[in-house]
Amino acid sequence: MTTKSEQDLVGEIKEYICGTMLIGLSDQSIEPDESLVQRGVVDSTGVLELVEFLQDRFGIVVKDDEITTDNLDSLNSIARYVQQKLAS
Amino acid sequence: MCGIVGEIGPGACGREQLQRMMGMLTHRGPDESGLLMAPGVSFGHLRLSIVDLAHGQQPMSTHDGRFWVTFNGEIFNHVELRQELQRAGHVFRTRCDTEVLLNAYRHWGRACLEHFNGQWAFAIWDRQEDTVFLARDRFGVRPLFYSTLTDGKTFVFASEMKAILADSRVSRSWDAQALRDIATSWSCEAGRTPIRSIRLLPAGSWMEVTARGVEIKKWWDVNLSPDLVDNNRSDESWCEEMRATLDEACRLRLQADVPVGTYLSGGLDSSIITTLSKVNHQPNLQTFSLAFSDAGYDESGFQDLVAKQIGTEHHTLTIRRESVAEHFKRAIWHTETPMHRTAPIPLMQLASLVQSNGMKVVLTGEGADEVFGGYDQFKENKIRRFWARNPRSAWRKRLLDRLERNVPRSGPRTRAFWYAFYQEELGQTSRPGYSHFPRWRNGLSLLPLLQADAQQPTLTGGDWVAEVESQAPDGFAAWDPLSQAQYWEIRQFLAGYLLSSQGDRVSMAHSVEGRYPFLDANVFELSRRMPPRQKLRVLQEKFILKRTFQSDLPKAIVERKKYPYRAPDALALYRGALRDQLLESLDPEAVGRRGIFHVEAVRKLLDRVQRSEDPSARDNQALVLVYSAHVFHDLFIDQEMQPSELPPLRTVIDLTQTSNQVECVV
Repeated sequence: MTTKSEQDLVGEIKEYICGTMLIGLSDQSIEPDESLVQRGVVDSTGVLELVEFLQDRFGIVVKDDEITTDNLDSLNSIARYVQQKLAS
Repeated sequence: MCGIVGEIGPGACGREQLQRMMGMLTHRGPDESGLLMAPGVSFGHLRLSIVDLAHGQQPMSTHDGRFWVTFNGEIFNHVELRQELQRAGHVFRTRCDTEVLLNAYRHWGRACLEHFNGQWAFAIWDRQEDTVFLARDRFGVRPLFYSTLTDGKTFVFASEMKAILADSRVSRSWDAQALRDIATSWSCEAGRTPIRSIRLLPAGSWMEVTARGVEIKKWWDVNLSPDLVDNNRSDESWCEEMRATLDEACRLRLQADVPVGTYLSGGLDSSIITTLSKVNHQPNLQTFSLAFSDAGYDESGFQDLVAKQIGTEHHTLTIRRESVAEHFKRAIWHTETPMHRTAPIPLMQLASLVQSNGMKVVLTGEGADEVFGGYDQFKENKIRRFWARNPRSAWRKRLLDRLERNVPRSGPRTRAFWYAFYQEELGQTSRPGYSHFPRWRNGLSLLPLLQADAQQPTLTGGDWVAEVESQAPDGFAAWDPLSQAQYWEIRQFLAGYLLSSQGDRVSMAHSVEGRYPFLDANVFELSRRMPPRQKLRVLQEKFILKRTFQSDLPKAIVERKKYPYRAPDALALYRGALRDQLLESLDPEAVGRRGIFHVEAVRKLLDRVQRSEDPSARDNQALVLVYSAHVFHDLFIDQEMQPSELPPLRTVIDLTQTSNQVECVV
């Protein structure tokens, strides 16, 4: 897999979240550092959906102890996490 | 139990129009009907005869013809009040509580409400003063909607909105703010209803209509102030009073000239009511239960256990997933609101079972969780406050794991995320609505589905919460956290959803009257005096209630974990045989035409539900909400009201011609 920039990753993840998970319109803005939990986009069910998407799209394996708000609570943190996984 | 309707003012309708409006409420009163016509006053009444079947026709007047009433409900302590009023010189012609209500109003005026222990909505016309006094019971068991015509002078009221809408002068359009209320908290705030021109008289309120205008006042509110609490009593002494008070509440509610049964859910509260009723008052008691073919919702094992132990004549109705979809539209017709869940539908069918067994009245366990501290919501509030005192604690939040409801289906893997959800607002424990923030936040997350309405600028989520919080009573900050949570639960969810959509509206759909011993005035007084720790002891719910009745009930019932009543939701609608109706209602053109929700938002929602084996709780609720709002739109905004034929018209009072002639056709 070619290396993706963090910005590309943010774009892809945002597209998925806005187009699929977000209640409401796809063009509602989500800031890169905004908490998805606070925004009500990701709850405990939603996070599994998100994990499934990350695994399928980026070919990574998300371990149970990696499902944390540090890794998965904003577009930026998700992108950073995915990049680390791809690099390791 | 009955249906009431009326118009007051210069534009008050004529008899034909009044009968059209009455014809919308025949399910509430199938036994007989009556009406009163006077200059500027039209009252209609549909009767479900329960007490003094041969008499008690309405509208009814005091013997001198000054006060006239149309009344829906029961004054359970009418026998005692009658004696008191007779001693004061009032004359009675019937055994009915209606006449007690009339004479009580004549004797005490507005203060009569304080004397009533019951569930009611009524309108009394004072012919001498030409004023109309309307009122609702403490908890809002019986409904009362009203509207003012465009002349600004003519006032319309009824038990259900459909009767008001049968007057074509009443305009029909959505109240966008009410829709936001419903999406957020499952009920409307501040007397709003889904229809902008119609309002609901809040629980525990009265209103007076005079030539000067309309005055509305709250005469009773949930008051759980610490000043009222008695901290110096033993557990045993509370148990003793609990048993006596609840037993009396059951006795009062079993009085009727028709047989009375009970609902048996398989939980603690209805088992207590059933036991007290059968053992102490009604040896040949019939009980009614819902079973589900989906095992995940079914509690029939527990219901059978209680019915067998107590020895009742037990009836069970098994609900299939398909029947939820089959009865969806009819349920919205009766509940008159968009809703998040399908739970009212099986209860409507249960009322049908009661009706087909020839019964008109049932007692239920509704209200026990609110009054005596049963909900997980209350424990959650306690844990979040405990956690807030030390937000860095790694183990305090783990107490949330004990609440079954809070452990999501996604299991321990996602623990970090549900802790994060409950962690929000930990710094805001002094806010009046703190206990309900997580629930409201869940609801607010559905708002992006809604199409904004240019004429009614929408409040932000923060504004909405602030508006609700501003209704907290004086001194609220000094209340115990449990009492605060009880307040919102009783005022919002009990009054606005459980007693209406899962109570009055669906039981009256089949002419069945629900009665609620846990909402008895004296039972609530007991709760007011009881310290919060006797309700929620550490994390043990309904502590004194359980202790009082633990030896009366099977151990399995007392010790079982609380099991919320639910019914199959989105999948019942989406996967069943009636899926096409849902898809038709939610296709982009249909969504756009009704203009309530964003087309793209609904498309995305449907897409998620379609791809998921088991949609998330939020998507489940969103789908039911959108579909029910569309059904509501079709039934109440688009469609003309079609009145049914009236039951025998046994009372016609015509005061339009000769000012003093009262004619009763009986």
